[in-house]
Amino acid sequence: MKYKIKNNSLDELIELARSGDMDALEEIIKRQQKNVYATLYYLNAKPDEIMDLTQEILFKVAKNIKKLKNPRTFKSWLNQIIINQFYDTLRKKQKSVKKVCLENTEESKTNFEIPDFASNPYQKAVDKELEAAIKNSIHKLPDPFKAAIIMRELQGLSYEEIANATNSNIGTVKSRIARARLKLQEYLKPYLS
Amino acid sequence: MLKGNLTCENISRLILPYIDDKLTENQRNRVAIHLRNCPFCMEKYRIIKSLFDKIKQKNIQRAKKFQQYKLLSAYCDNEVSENTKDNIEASLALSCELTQKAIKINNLKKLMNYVFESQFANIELNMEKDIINRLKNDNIFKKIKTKIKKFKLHF
Repeated sequence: MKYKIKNNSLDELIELARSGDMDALEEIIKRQQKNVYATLYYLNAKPDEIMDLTQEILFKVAKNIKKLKNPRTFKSWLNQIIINQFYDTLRKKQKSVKKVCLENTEESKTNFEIPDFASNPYQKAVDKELEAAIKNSIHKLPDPFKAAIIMRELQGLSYEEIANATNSNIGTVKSRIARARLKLQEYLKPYLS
Repeated sequence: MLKGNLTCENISRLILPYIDDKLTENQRNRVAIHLRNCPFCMEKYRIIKSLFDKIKQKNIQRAKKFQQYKLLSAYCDNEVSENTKDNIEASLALSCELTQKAIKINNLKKLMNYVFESQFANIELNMEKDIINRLKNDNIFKKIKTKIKKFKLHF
């Protein structure tokens, strides 16, 4: 059976992948990898670990997609995997005490530069400053607020999807997003006026 | 357990739980009797009670304000029911303060979306082939493993 995978919707691809279609699965990973990467970046994963973590998460998705019963819950399911994998890694590292701190050198930080192809140098500088400000502000948020606002603004998840991904109810998600926004408005005041 | 009549010293310990309604009925009655008969403690009670009420009022106001902000935030995400949407829009038409808040939420949303979109637009990850290969290898490895298991069981 020949079909153009690229034109299929995510739901269709998930259905195909669940029945063992490797091309469909490959397309899903292709479409989702940036989302996973960006989410980890804002969850404050260590720069030198983001790639490995993204790989691990996508592999888990590929391996377990057949277990996903309803394609509509894919986004919640994916984010559940992201959150679990991220905090699992964090917990494991905390157990292995200070080993990690020594590795967190300036060098590893400079290796992680996001390529920026904006042509206007002034705009480039403004964008860089803004990126840093937003990243720092998000990092300052308490974990549940951070996860909720990233899923909402970065990935465009609905409140229901966020509630499923974080094992909470919609009221809690509403609260967390509102609290995150109040804090972010305070931190980003100079950029919002 | 406190026995007999309460002293002024007892009252200074019981005054806050009394105001906060944390005492048993018996304790509450005994504190009330003392207060009725002791102008000094009664004055103390009035001062603390008025402070307590002010704080309580402030907390209620803060909670109400947050409740309103929460709804507004959900409205900006298009995550409210039609009924709530109508109510919020009616309130927005009447209140400049609320409209300002909605504008601020939308500005924050725009700023974040702009940064997220431009920041990751040029990143190429190309992990899909590696992952599919890893999965295929993993599947082969699993098949070999089960065959070995069957083989072991057979003998």
